[in-house]
Amino acid sequence: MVSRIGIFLQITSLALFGGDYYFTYSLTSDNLVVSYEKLQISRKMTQTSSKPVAFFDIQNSKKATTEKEFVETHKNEIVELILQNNTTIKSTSKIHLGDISERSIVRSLPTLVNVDFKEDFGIIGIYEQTP
Amino acid sequence: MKKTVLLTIAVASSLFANTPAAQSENVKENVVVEEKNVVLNNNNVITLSVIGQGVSPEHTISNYQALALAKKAAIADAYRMLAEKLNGVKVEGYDIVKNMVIQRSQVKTCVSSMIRHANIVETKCAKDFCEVEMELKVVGNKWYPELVSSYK
Repeated sequence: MVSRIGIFLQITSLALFGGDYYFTYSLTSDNLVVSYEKLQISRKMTQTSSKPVAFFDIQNSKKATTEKEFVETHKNEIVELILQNNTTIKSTSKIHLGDISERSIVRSLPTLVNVDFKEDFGIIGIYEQTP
Repeated sequence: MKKTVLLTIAVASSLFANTPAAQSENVKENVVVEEKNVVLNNNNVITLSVIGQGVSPEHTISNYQALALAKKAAIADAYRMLAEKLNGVKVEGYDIVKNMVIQRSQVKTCVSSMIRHANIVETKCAKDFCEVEMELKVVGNKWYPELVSSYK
């Protein structure tokens, strides 16, 4: 009986408060031009006990109808929010005979994000990263 | 009598004020006042502000993609500049000299840092070029001890 209630509550909370997604992002730029970019989005398959620490809202400007579509169409905005929250940067430059070459790698560790999709906007909740 | 005593005190104080020691104290005070808003210490909050630049790649599908990529490159550049300001740059240089003539000269720089809670203040985009202004607030009582210990 308890487990049934638990399952019901879990399904209801997923429906009410949206789904959790892992975002992993990496970008490499050579001489101020992007040369490589990789974004991995993965839906979290287990229950989350903690709560998001930072909330943002994104307008549904691209008229997405479902949560999955919203995530897909607004992934760049979500990545920007994640980068503002936590970013690792590694940059190297080499000067040889007056010729400069520079490479910067921006990376975000797998970050858990809650996407609560409404009709006109979505609320993005970012969880605290665990080291 | 009182007038003469006061006059001598005033003259003596004015002479003392013009001595080099007193002047250097005044200069020091001025320097401290000038640096008050720039230097991080235990009690203040400073805001680091940088402008990153990015250029769109040559081969793109559309204008929108070109601008989006230029903006991302500008964001990466801004993060690099913030990291440089916050943690410093590791510089490594070497020259190879043969028969008193430089054969090879190379300078390498490296920056590596983690940045949290940096805000994008403004984004300016032209045809194939983007500028991103980014700000980072550094709270002294939290970060000053850590930054000082990292340099020791």
